[in-house]
Amino acid sequence: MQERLEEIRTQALEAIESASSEEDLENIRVRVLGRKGELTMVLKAIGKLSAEERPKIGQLANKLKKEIETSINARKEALKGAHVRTFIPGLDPTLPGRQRRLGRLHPITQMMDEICSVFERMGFTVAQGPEVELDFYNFEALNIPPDHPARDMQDTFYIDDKVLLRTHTSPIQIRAMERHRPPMRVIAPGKVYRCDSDITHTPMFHQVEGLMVDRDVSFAGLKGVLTAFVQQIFDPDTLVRFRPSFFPFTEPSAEIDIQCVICRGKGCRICSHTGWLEVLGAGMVHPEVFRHVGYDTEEFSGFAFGLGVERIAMLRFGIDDIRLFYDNDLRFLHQF
Amino acid sequence: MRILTSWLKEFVHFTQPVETLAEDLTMTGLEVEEMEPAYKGLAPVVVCLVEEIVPHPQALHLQVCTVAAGEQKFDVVCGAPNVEKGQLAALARPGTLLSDGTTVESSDIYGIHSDGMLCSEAELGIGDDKTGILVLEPAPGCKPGMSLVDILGLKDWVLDIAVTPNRPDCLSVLGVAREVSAIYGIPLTITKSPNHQITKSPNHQIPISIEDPDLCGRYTAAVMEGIRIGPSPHWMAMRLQASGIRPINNVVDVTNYVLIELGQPLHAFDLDRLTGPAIEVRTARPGESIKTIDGKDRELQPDMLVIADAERPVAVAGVMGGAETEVNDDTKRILIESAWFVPIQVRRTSKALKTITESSYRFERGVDPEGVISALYRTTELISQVTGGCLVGEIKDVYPRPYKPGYLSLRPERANKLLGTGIEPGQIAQFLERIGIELSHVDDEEIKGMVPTYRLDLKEEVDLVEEIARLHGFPNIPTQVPWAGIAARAPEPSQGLVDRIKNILLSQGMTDVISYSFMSPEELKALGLDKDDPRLQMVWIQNPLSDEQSVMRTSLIPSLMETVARNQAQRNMDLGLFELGTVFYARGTGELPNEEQRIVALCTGSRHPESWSWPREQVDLFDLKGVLEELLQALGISEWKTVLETPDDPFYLQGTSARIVWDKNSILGSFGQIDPNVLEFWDINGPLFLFELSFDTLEAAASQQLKFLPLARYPAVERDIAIIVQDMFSAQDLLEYIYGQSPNFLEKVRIFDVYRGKPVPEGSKSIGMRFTYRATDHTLSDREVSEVHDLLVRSVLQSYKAKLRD
Repeated sequence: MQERLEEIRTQALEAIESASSEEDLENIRVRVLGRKGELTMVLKAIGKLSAEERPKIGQLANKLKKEIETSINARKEALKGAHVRTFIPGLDPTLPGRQRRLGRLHPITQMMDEICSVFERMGFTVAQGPEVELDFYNFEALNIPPDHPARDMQDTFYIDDKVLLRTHTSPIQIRAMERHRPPMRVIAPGKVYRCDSDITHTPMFHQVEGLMVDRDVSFAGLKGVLTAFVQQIFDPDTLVRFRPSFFPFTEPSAEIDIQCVICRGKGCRICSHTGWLEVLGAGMVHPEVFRHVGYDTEEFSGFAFGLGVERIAMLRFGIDDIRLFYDNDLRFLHQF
Repeated sequence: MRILTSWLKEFVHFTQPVETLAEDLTMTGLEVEEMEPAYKGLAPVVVCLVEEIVPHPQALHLQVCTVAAGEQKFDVVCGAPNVEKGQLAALARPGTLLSDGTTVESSDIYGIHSDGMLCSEAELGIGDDKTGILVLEPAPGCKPGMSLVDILGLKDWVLDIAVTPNRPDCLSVLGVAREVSAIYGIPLTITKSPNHQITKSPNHQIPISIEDPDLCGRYTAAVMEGIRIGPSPHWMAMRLQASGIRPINNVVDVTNYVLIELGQPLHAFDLDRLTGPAIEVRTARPGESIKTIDGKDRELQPDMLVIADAERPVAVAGVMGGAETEVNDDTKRILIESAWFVPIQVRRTSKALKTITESSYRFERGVDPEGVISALYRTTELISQVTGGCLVGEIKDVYPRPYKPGYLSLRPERANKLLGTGIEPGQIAQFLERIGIELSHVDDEEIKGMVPTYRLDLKEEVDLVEEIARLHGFPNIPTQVPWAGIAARAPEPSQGLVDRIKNILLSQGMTDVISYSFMSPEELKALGLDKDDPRLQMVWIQNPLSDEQSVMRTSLIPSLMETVARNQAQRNMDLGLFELGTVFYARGTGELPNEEQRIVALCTGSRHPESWSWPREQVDLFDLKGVLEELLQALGISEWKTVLETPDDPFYLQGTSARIVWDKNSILGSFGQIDPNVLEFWDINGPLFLFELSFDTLEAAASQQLKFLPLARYPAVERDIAIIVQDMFSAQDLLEYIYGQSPNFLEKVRIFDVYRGKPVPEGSKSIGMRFTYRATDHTLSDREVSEVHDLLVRSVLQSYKAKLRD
């Protein structure tokens, strides 16, 4: 009896394996499990067996019945998957589609838009100003008088004694304050120029600067706004560090470092093994700047900040040579 | 500023490990950019045991020593007279940096391989003895193979500190020590008062005069004699080297040493070479010049301040001394200058001479006017110590207008409001004391005090607020998003338009590029502009990085051509590019140029990305014009047309270009194919098609509010015709004529075909047009349409002497 079961099993499984349609499978099912099927017959004959053999063979037969049913179903599924498709001569859906060429936004444009939108969500509005500026707006109104050593901090392109290429977008803030009274929340994105050219400097680059002036603006607020900014641009968990620095137009002044995005603070080449990357300069607006635009320094206080868009983009995208931005090689631009 | 921690410890006994110190300095405003062991160059030096000595077979005075350093043994050639078997010596392995600046290498010496060298104190830069090799005393902790730096405890560090322009007081060891003292609240170690010997006779009464106290506030001088010039002791040379200054001789080294230590620039003259001798601080006279100690001959301008003797300038004040009166090997008597020059004066001179020195750098930022005399005492003390010289007569101090210290007051409430903190007034007062403010009044409302003379940067209340902030610690200031009212100011409308333009062009396959705002005048020339073209009114940069970037661009086209050329050189041949940027037209001197925004788009190469499904076709003028039309249409600008009559920009290939005019006579821009001769200048493979638009005009044109047109409710009727007209008539002429007739029910006319060639006669073309008629209030009947259409066609044929094509 046991041999007979083994025989049924081998034949049935072979037949299922080689079945090529659902119809074949149905035939096998009928042949083996049908009312007069091979296995059914065995089950029917169990009653004639001895009392010792009966449970043992019964168990084996039932197990085999399940196994065959499972195999048939599995094969059925497999056959469904292997559906033979209708073949239309000349139409191969795997051929590449006709792509309409889409243009790409320059990574600096994208980065700048993203930076601006973070601040716009916080209620800052965008202001613009000339790229060729008066010395007055670029330096003097920002508490950098002629012959001040702080002028060495920015290598300036001059047009003549009074006119220069703006070295930062801060002049826009002065122009905005001349036009409007507080409360003031502006950001000034744009091109700036410094005579410098190497792997991390180009003579032209982009900045976004911001200014908030109101009755109770404090350094704590500056920390709040810039921490929110950094965490939106990089990562919500990014560690931020504010440390004292110097800018003639702010007091106190701060530089803002983020934990190195490459090594996560362990120290690497990008962060000069400090674990920190400088990304922003900021501070409380110097009273001298307010005096230049006629704001009452007792009534109002404010903070200002500035950042280099290229630097942020290089960190975000892992770009190691700033000059790539201005080569405009399509192989580069089409990656963004 | 490179600061040696051992030097710093002479002024302030901090106990923090160097890493903590660096971090704390950085977090209070003195950024430590780098930190390195002072004896980094000695890292490869190990203690070794001299096991065997044999004479060098080839050289009489040399010996070959076999030394053991831990497990390893080395053969070293040595010429020292004191080397003996069994000694513990210092083995400099290859890579060691010796005090004379050379690096030890393994090499063959007269045919014998040497694996390094046994060094003297002097060679290692840790002592003055150069008579023989350094021999170490056997001690329990001193075993062969161990690092010499560890054994001798040479645990000194150099901190490289970035000092911001507002803190010239920190350009010295003393200054940094004051900061450390303020940060940790530990007192400065007061340096012992200088022990100077004054010999009264012979008394040199050298006259000193200051011509203009507005240029030089103080001049002090000391005379010393019995000077023996020679090298400085090792400790001084080592400290100077670690601070980045090359030792020269003991007198010059002392002046540099005190400069680093106290921040006061000093200069020593060879007294016997000063005519007079006399010292006169005055401006240069016309025609005067000086050879400075760097060997350069310098023409002096009458606005430059000099130190002169009875005859001639002997130093450029605050910048550099003269070569003729410089201390040299034969110098016996010196005059030492310690002075205070007006910062702006030094800065202007330094700029004019294009020379920045350790002195000028400090003077132009501001040195402590009250530190002048103590620095001079310190200098005389050290010079007498290292040269054996002694002070003669009294130190002269010409101080026409003594410095008046500043007084400041601070309101604790104001400070806390600005910072967003709640620091107790008592704590605030303590912070101020720590930075050297002598408090004269303290209560909850106001704290008053006298500013130390070295803190020239503390000028108003907010400067003190910053001091409080950094000593309190920026991390201890809360991080709070500020409360603010709703911003109700409308954004500048142009920004929205920029985004719209960019999006439309992107969707048409054009890629956004950003190029430099500079260009070369040569490139502009290549465009072949007329003499009176406004684009020739260029803004010239006084100090450009190169000729290629010497003017601000008056057109975006040159930089885009460069971009195309650069891409073609990389085999990126299929290009659709645009740039939106500023162009600059010069006005008068001292006046800002006229800045305008331009949009330039171009295409070249194949029309579609390479594909199996369509043939490779080159773009043509109408691909570009399609982009232009789509842009204008999507911006809601309908009242525009192309004008062929006016002459176009010379860089277009004749006959391919046209102007785009909006609202009758506002010029929006132009388009066309770039002349192959122009492309040649940039080595560009054409054809290349380009349009240029003025952003301002576009903004005016796009400012109209969009108005909804009701959707048609009744069906349209279409009629097609093809007419044969002479080539001279443009499509635009025809369409304008047709619309100009204002026929009833005519909704639009589209050109669906243009054909030249047989059977159309030469000089003519066939134009296929589809007329769409529709009424807004009923379904048009065939008769109604025919009535209008037939009349219209007849009038077209008549006006254009055209024929219907069969």
